Amino acid sequence: MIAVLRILLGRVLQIVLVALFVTVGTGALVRLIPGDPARAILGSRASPEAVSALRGELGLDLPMIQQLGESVAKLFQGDLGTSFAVRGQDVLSLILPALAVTASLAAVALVFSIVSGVGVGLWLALVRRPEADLAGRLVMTVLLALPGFMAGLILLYVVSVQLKLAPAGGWAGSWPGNARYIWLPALALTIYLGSLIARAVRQAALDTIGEPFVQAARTRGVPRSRIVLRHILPNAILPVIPLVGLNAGFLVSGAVIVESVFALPGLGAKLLEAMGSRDLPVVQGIALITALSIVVFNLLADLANIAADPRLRRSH
Amino acid sequence: MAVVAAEAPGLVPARRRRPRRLELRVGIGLIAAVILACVVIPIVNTTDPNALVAAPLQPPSAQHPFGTDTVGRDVFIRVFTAGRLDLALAALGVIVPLVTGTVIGTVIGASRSRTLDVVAMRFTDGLIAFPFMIVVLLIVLILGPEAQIPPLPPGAASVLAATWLVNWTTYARLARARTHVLRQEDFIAATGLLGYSRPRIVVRHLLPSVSPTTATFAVADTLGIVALIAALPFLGAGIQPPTPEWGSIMYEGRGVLSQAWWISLSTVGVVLVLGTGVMMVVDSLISNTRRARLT
Amino acid sequence: MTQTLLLQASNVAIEIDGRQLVSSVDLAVNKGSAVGIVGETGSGKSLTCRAIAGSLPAIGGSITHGTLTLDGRDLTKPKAYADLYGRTVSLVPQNSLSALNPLMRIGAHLIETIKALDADDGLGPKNRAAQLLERVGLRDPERILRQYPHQLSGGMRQRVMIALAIAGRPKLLIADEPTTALDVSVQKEIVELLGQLTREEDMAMILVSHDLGVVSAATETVAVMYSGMVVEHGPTETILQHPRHPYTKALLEARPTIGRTGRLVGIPGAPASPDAWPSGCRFAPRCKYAQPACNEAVPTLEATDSGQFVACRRVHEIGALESAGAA
Repeated sequence: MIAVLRILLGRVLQIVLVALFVTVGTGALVRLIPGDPARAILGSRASPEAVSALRGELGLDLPMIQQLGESVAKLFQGDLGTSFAVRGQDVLSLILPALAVTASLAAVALVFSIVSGVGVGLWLALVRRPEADLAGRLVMTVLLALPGFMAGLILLYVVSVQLKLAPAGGWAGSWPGNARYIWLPALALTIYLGSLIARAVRQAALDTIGEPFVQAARTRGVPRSRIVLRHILPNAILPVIPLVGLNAGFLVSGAVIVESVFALPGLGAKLLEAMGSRDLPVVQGIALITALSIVVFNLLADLANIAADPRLRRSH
Repeated sequence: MAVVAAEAPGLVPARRRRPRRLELRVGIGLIAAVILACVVIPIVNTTDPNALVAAPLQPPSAQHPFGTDTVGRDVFIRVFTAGRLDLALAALGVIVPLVTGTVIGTVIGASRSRTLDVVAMRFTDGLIAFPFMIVVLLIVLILGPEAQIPPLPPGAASVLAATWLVNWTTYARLARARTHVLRQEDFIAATGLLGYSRPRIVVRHLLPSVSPTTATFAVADTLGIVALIAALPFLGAGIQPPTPEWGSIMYEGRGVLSQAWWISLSTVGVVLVLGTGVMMVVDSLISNTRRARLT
Repeated sequence: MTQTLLLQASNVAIEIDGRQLVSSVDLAVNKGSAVGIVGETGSGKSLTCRAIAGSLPAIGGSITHGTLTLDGRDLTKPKAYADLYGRTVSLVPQNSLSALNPLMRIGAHLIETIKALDADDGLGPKNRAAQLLERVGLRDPERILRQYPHQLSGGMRQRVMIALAIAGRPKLLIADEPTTALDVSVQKEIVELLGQLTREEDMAMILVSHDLGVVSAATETVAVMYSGMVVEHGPTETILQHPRHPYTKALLEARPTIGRTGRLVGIPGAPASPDAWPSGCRFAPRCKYAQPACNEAVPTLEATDSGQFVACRRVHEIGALESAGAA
């Protein structure tokens, strides 16, 4: 239990630090973007008086340090501030629908990746024909060389344009209708992440097969199928958990770009819109939400790791 | 007395497997082919990449192997001209963080100060939690599409600045971790006991041992940076048109994918050849598997 | 003596990835008897065990020469082992930590083995598992069944390995350096347990060690291996008291013993690599009795007057030399 508490504490500390860091960091960066938000909101024909009045209303006339201080203070009350562009609108409520799209894309891609990666990796480790192993490794090398959005372009052409099995981008806006739209972009992300997992699982499974305990179980008469399922599989999955944790950032960044290829109304589109209209609180909010989701994701990965590996649960 | 040693469980010395060498050679060959094509093709074929040479959206033909784009430019010459820019940016975007990150990480790793280590690691933690893409977008927006370093086209400066600012953290972490491992090893511990100065230990002993680790990662990272540069046009940033750049060609082709697949997919094909080469080199550098078999 | 032969190996050679690492092993084990194999690192004793236990293919090895029969079955044929595992032959490995799945409880290991061998004795797998743990001298079996391998001490884990090995009441138990990773005091307990189990369960045992002392505590006969060959075998007591092969002599002299004074004598040099085995006697380059003739042909095992078999062309001359020296 002590191990669990220590990891939890470390992660909570990290969440607080990341929240601070990201809020101040993006706050400062965002305010360096050329262009006056008040001017952007009111349009180029507004009078200078109107612009400066809006600047006062938005708090843009305050020193930057004070602006940042206020956003940090609000943050710890769970308030991400209000939008500049959509006046009076709470930032969180503006971001949430886009976040839901990106999060569901990432989640579906993650499930696809784990299922296919573990399956393929285990199969490659067990396959006895050297040609199959070589072919499998070659295919994985090529797939790993294919960034998500390029995979998206290929899939879009082959699956949507040629085979007409999926819509060429877009979003239904409600479940389960979204399922028709989500699987192809999720597959595009799976090309890379699934291959990465498959490679790790293959290596871990091969290492496990070489472990004395596998051979010991074999010489005790334990059947092959049971050895694969109870001995090799759990040990081969173990390294996948931290691997997925490490790639959380990739998953989010990848999802944002793939969304753009498939025209999904996710965080990427929302971010572009907010940057275009100099909606600083929304930009800051998106950066914060993504950063926090990555840290929380890592926390979950840690907990999953502890749940999966009894050696990490020392000292009762 | 050899008598007391227990019999080692790994009875067989791992043999170096031949395919690994082959993999390295094929990988280098693929990378070299793409680089060579990007260097040679624009010299041999003097078509201006921005010239309107034929009707728009013409499929691949003997004259225009990759067809023509939405306004009638030759995609073949555009893709290989773009390759020069993308490869140069990727090289610059990897080498600078490789050097700064390796040095910073090694110094932090070699430092006796616990505080420095903790502060530096928390700092990189914060940066790493940040999705790379978003930082790059912010920086690209801050510097604006107009920011320019003379030989490079508009947009390149902000892309480079972004990778330089963010990417060193990964190298610093790798270098620090490697340094911590090395510090346990006898030859480094011995330099300390011999009274060598810290800077001397870092420069003469640690850096040469840390660099192969970070350099191997840099090979793989090159592909990541190529992908990043090419992804930016999809988010409304990156190298500004009409300069030929892989990402902007693919983005342009995305809009007409159903009529003219060749614009996007021929570019994807070239990048894929490069990427496969890079992955093969990386695989051959890091892997040393000897297969055990489940009987 | 009307003992039946359980295992017979003659002139067995083993190759891994095309390298011959064991070139001539002769060994016979009677039902219910305990045999020791002694040798230093690289002598081929572990490979010999693996060959008998059927785990050679897993490391890419195979028997390329000679005959090996266990309980009437020809072990040089592939797939001969499938139904021998656990019931006829069973292995106690060198390192108990790596021989247990770190993600599985001790109970799961025992129960899967009992189920696989269909050996619950009508008690149900769980009860049989607890009974086996008691059998190997572990107290509080219920608690141990629920624990993970890393939570046990090395000695306890090795007892678990023994419990696993005897679960199917095998006719032959192979213990491959079962005490190497253990403290000296625990070593003794484990060897005594193995000796006791072979007597009480009517099992035969092959006990492998680099230490003749360990082997002598639990075996009746012993084979000494050097560079992939058996160089001397015979009754344990005889070999311990009157070693005849120069290597066995050197091995005994190199062993620290309580109550003996004087310097320990090491064996000069190191064993040759399998790629560079001498053409004649493999021990010759390190042997203080070696003569040019020793390099001519590989000596074969021959009976001696003192009751053991020795592979040394000068064995009689050396015996004469020594009794002259002693006299």
